[in-house]
Amino acid sequence: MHTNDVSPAPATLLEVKALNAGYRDLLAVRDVSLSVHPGEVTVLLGRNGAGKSTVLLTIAGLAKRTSGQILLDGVDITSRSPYARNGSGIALVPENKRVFRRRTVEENLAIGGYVLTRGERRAAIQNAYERFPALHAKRHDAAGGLSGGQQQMLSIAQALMPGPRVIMLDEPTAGLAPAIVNNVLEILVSIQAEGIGVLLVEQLVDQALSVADHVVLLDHGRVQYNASSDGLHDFDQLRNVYLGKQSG
Amino acid sequence: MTAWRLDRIPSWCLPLVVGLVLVAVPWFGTDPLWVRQLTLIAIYTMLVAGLNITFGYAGMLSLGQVAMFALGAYTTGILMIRGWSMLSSLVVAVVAAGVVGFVTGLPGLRLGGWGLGMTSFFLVLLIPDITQIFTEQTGGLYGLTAIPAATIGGRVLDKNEFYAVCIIAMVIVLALLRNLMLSSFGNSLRVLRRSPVLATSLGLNTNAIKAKAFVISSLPAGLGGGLVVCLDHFIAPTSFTLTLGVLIIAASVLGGSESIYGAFFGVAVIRLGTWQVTAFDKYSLVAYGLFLVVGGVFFSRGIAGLAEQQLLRWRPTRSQPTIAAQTREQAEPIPVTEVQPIPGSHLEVRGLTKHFQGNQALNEVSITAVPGQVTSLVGANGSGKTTLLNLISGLYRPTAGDVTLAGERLSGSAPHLVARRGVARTFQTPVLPDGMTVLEAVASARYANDAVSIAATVLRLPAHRRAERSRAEAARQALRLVGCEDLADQDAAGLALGTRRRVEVARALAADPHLILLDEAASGLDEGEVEELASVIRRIADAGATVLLVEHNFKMVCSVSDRIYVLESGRLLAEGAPDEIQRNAAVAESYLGQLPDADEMGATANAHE
Amino acid sequence: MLTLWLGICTGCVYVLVATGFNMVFVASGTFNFAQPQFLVLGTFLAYATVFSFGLSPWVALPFGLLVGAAIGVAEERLVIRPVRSKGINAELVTMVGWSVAMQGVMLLIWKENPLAVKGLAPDDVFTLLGVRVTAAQLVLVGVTLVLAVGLHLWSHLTMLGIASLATSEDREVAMLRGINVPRLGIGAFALAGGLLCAMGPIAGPTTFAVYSFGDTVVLYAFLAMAIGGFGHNIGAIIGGLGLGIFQAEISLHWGDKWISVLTFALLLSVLLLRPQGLFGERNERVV
Repeated sequence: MHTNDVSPAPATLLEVKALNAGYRDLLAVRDVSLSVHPGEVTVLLGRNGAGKSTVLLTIAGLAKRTSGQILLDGVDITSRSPYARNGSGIALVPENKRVFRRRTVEENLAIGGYVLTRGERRAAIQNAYERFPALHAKRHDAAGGLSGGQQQMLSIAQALMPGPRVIMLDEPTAGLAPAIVNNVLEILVSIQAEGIGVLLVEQLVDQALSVADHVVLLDHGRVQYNASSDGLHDFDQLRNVYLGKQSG
Repeated sequence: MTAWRLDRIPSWCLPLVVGLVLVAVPWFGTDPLWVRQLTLIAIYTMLVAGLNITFGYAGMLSLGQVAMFALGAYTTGILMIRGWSMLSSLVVAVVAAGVVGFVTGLPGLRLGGWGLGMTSFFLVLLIPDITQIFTEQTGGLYGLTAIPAATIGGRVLDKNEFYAVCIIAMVIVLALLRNLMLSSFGNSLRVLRRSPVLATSLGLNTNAIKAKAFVISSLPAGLGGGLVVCLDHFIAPTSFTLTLGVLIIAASVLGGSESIYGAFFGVAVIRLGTWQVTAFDKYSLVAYGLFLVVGGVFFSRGIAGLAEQQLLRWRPTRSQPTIAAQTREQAEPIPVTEVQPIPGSHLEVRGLTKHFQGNQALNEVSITAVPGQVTSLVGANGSGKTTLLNLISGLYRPTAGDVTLAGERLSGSAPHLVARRGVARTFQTPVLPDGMTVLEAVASARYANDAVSIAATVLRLPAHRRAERSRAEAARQALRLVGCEDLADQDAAGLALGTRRRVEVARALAADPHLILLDEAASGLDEGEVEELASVIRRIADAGATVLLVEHNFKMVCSVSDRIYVLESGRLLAEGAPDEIQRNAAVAESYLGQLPDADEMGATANAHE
Repeated sequence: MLTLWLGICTGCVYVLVATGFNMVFVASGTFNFAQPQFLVLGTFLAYATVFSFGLSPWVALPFGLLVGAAIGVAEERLVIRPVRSKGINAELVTMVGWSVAMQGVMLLIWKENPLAVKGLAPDDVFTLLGVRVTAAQLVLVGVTLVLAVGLHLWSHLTMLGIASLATSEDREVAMLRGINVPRLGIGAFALAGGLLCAMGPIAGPTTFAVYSFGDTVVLYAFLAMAIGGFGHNIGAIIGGLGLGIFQAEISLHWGDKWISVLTFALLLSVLLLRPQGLFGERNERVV
């Protein structure tokens, strides 16, 4: 994961430029720029209230942006609706394991593949069951009856259905037992191995750093630090800012 | 110049003058048709004023006015036929309307939104069928005829005198309702509309408030019904239709639903505007319908709203906070005034457990919070902090374990009763109702325990004035403590986030709380604001309060707390003084995610004394 | 037995309107107070098709479908969307306004007297199980059941139907998964409006064309929906037919004037004792 060879920078899959977004009197995201590359994990760290979730929501189109640009594979998607963005190849796994609780597991997956043709959808569902065997066993159960960990898996599987090029996850490990946390991290690694770009918001610093290729640190809505995750020196600075000893 | 002169005139003068002018109208030789129109306007105004209380102030879709109107009319008609005098019949009509308003409002306590709207709509539909069921008394579909003329003290009233009676009744009703709405009662309706959860956290019994609102809004409708019978000496079910209901809603929207005097203007404009148009009847439905569509989409506050905007230019009592005012109070060091002792009590949480549909949110958690100290709860998202807070404030019932305050059990009590026992809280997103000043918003914490009777409020008796004064005084002290005293007359909902947070803290203080729960009070604030908040919290604790702080900002928590509890996945992971927690490896790994360097941690602890 | 049959026929009208309510409720989260007016309009259009334009009543089907869909879309754009963010008071005001305006227009054009509507079926009368049954009534019951069951199956078996159900649960995640939620809402208003309007020649022979018909039906169909559970068409069938039979029995034993009073009592009982109806869900309160 931490490659040391000097290779030409891979093409940027997702590029966010000078993004500003917020609600009412609070500008939650100020002048944020970041990028995600194919097959790499970019981790967005920061204290609560730093603006991490808002960045993801704005990229996904659910939060209003006041200024800035969002480019997916070089294409400007800034003015597209959230459903059009999904069709363009970017998916968000929101916080709190939000699946459609009254629908079955299989229906949830089918909805994930809403933009696909029927044949593509069926194939994608089979793939999902291969990657997440636990979901296959429960495919006709209502999603509301699954455990927290299973719901998180379902949420991820649902987001992966249309074969996005970039997937964003908002605190996928929150409230999960340590064993399940490891499962989630393994899944992120496997997603990354398929060449999908991953933008991950996490609260658990060391877990996040264990999968990160790139770290972006947010504080009060601003980017305080943005670099590759090689080097111990960066860990200290990261931790200091995170623990609040300095404001970057 | 004009501002201060107008300010000297008490606010009831204008309506009084208008009322006197109106009463005098017939004696200027006005056409009797006009007198009749104005009489009807006065009567319908009472209906709309009642609607404004439930619909405009309390935000409830209850449309039972027409039914109460019909009830008042039939009661008065039936009694007068039996020889009762007009006045005594009207009294019975009003009481009957109140009783029926209460009974039909009971379902409204559990229903909200469309459920309530539909049941109240239904009442209007029942009117013709009920008159048919009681055909003997009501004359059925043909109606009640031969109702004797209105008399006062044995003297028959002519059309003009009856008109004067209606105008006087209208003015009195509007004055009393206005007194009621510009008071703690009216403000509690606003609080209820903004958030029922906020209302219960302030100790307000939402059911009691709603029931009172239903009853009070029925009374003028009943009175209006009684008067309309005396106007025409005849009523039939055809007078009480859905069209009348639509007219009332339209008048409410036009005049401004959140206004009392606006009711008169709304009704006047609609009645006078449509009366002279002879073809109007055919077009009335379409016209009202389109008006409601346009009004609902475009008007937010009707004629009254426009008038108030104009008035603001003459008497700026409520203005937008200037940037200068806000930055000024942030730059100055907050003065340390003599602080009144705050009666904190001992909080004991034992073995508290909460399950939600198979999800274990909290497991066997025990914590203690002591007066004069700041106790903090930290933990990652999903660790159970908010669940614990909600369990303490009574919004959830525990699956096991209990919560006691000063030795008495809190858990299992309804949330508004928990609040009345002295538990005050703030919310993650500050909840401040619209249309209230900062002072009123803070004083609202005292409504539950400092209650004044409706009668005293409406008549502005000394008890009411005393209560208002003591609440305002307590509110000012609380505002002084958080450094927001300058903002007392500003519009509460329009302030910046950090300021709204502090106003919420002041509100929690205003009710002499035995326990203060602060829910992520620092979230969204910048460095300077966090420091100020921390010093406010310290000052409150030093004054004797029991403070329980739920917070993410670990640095702030360490700087302010006497004791910290760390939660993980619903369980207690660690507890102790700030420096102990910072050195605790398990905490670091779970919550902070890194093994901290001991030297650095030592440096941190010293730096934030 | 005749009472039972008449109750079923009345109940079918409630079921039709309730399916309209459900369609809009599921796809856009709003209760369309004006929905019954579309059925009433349909009956007038069916009347006009035959008696004003001299055409076959079958023409009323596509005619009603188009007019109803157009007005439905207009309602969504002019009356619902602008007040989405303003809270439920504003919604009530504008929807009542639209409903009243539609009624007012119908009153202007066709006046107050009830008009007879010629339906699709011939004027045959049968005797089934000793009960006098008209062809028109059979058509009404048949079409209603087919439509309601069909819509139920559609919403559970087709992708669009499942997407609508998902949208009613969580609009935001539905959008994230590629569902064009606003268009779904417009589509629901168009379909519900169009279908109900097209039902004119089918329900008209039973209900006649009366501008004030919507006043009672809105309340009774709401109750049918509440009994079945908001958004559930099978529940709406049970609720609607049950209510129709209930009212027919009351009329037989105690007289028409007791219908509204006892129905009101039933409404209160349902809303207070089991607000989620037969198939609906209790919302867990989350702070």
